[in-house]
Amino acid sequence: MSSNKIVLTSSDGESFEVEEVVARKLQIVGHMLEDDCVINEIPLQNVTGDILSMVIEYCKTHVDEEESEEAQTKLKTWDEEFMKKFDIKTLLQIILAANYLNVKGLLDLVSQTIADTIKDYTPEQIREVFGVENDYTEEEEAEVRKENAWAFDEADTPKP
Amino acid sequence: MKRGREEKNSHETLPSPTRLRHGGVINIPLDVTVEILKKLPTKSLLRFQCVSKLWSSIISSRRDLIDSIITRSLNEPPRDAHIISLVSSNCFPNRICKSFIAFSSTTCPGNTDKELVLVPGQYHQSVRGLVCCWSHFPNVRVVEIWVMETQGWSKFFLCEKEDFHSWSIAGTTRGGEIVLVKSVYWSYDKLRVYYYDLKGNSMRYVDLENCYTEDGNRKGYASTIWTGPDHVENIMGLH
Repeated sequence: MSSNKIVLTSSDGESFEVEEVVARKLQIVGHMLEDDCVINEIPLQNVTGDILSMVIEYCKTHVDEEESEEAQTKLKTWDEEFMKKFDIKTLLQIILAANYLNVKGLLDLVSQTIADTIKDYTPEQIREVFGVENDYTEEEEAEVRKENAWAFDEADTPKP
Repeated sequence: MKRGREEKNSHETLPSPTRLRHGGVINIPLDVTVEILKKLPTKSLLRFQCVSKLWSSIISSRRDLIDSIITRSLNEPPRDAHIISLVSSNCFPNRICKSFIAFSSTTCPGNTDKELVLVPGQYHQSVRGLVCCWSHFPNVRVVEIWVMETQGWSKFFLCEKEDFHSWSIAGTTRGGEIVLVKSVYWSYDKLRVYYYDLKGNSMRYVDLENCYTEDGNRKGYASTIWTGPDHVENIMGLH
């Protein structure tokens, strides 16, 4: 593989010089490189430097995905440790970036981590974290809650 | 990797990613939301139907979401479910009758799961990992179906119908529908067979005529109901 360097620039003007093999883990970059192979600086408008650096860290670690069981276990452990560093809001930013930059492995990893984090949330907490507006009327919401009363058994449901 | 500016070493100093003070919220695209929802246990999904109408419609209608729940359940290691019905005098004449399901692992003998799930009704049947709960007591109109998945047992669907007692699961179709028939019926009636589509959360039915026996208008018992493939297949792939 060539050791060609590519510069990735974030929306807030931070630049990262990475090897082409690493940059290609971002499928959006891969497609751009196929379209025009002389590009060596790529602006990424929808992702900030802080988040882009996390994505690059993931891609560098995953650049040679070996088949061996040992290597896979090691990567899995690294993934778990890597994910522990982030709070839910940062995780959501990373998933948006992974989706935009099209990094399949990271998208899977982050969506699983988010799911594990939010599984015991109340609907109120979900609205807060995801910024979802509650468009139910009080009566409608009470009705939906009643239908799914079972699912609230163990959740820490605030009393109305 | 060279960085164009000084290292920021704490992600906690980032501005809140999901809320913008004036433009409402950062839009998390539908496909990203679905990716996250796919990885949630059914119980969380049911609870999150209360989040908003959009979430409710995604959860109850997205085929890929329901597919992933079923796939997850099918990938579970086999466990035996022991259904313990509690029949106490308190069951009569009211419909308060509960049962427990206890589980044990068939892959690790001796490693009996202590999980107990309280399910309604006295009558239960298990078909390919779906446990159907119903009751013969009057006024019980509910059939519940429980499914095993990664995070434990979850109530998968709850169907309420006027005459929904003494129904049982007759099997599942290749398309994923659950076939329900009434195990006690009047033989002068048509025998109604319901097909509940898990994916579409919809119910259709077929009426079978002439299902009466020689002796006329007596109560009939469709007690031996079973479903099988109409051709030979590799049954190892089914669990």
